Amino acid sequence: MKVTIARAHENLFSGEAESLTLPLSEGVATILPHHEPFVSTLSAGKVTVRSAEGEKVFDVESGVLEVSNNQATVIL
Amino acid sequence: MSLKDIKVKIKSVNRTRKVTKAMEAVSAVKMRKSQIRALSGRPYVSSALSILERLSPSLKKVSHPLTQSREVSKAALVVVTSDKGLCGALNGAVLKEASKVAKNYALPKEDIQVYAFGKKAGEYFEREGYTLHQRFDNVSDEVSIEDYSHISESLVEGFMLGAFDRVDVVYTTFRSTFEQKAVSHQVLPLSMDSFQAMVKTFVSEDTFLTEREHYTPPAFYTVEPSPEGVLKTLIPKLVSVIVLHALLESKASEHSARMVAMKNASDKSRDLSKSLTRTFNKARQAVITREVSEIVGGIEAMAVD
Repeated sequence: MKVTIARAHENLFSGEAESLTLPLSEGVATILPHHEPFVSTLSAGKVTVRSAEGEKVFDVESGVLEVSNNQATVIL
Repeated sequence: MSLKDIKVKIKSVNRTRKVTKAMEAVSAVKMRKSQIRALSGRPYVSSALSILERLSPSLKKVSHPLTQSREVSKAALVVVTSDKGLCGALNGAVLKEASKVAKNYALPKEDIQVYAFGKKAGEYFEREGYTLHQRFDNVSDEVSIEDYSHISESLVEGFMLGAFDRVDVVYTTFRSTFEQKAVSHQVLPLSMDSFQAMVKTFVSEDTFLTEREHYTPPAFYTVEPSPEGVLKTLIPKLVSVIVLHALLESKASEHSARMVAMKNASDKSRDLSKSLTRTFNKARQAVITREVSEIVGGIEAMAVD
């Protein structure tokens, strides 16, 4: 699954990942590869990306998640 | 010109060259930094656009106050220029574009509020008799997060309260070191078209964009908690990202334009100093020739006796 996490002035993460855990407005959720097309908003919390190189954690306040075509995009 | 005058002139040209060369070197470093910053902001804008694009079929029925267009009786204009000159036609082009946009409103000058970012914009619009809503300095080489969030918040608030019915931004888009272009975009009411137009100004080699092109959006999205909720988070972000993008691109353009202008000035002064040295040598040779012929003439006059 290709994951892109971008803040307005910097690109935080871009690349292949095994899973993506984020604090959605309806509760914490983990997105796995081949998730159905999905759009949601983020609430404050931690976003965790697990990839071959290990785990990366980012603090977020708000944002939007979009998943489609085995590709997840998070803009903060 | 006497020999001495030429010598003085050569010296002054050389001194100027030292200054322009130093400025060129400084701008080159700043240019590299600001270019990286401007380019690093692009993935965000592209992602935001693609989310909006893919969502637009499912969001058609939903509207957001920031996307609703109404009759324009008051407008706001955000103009981004540099604080300092010596950067070629950069600011001139932005101000020309800005006056064109302001004229297109067909509104009296007092109904157009100007957010001037950079001294040059502030001076120009003050002289032209527009209302300056707010002016910001553009001295620092880094775009400050405070400044841009301040502008975007103030724009969103003004639009919601009806202080203005339309907002445009005029800035310089960065294409390459040698090519910058003054452009204007409508910020509010936010529309897909204006957002798309902005992304189109990006360099086409941008890998992110080329990857995106062969992609068809899925027919259906699960949207949580609701389309309204998503729009509420997404749209203010889009407004602020347009402003941030304008500032970053203008910064990169400014330094690039200045470096090129300074390089041209250095080259020109090198040519000038070369041709002045030649004139100087010619004049000196003429003096020597005259003296020699005077001496020879004198000897010959004496030899006759």
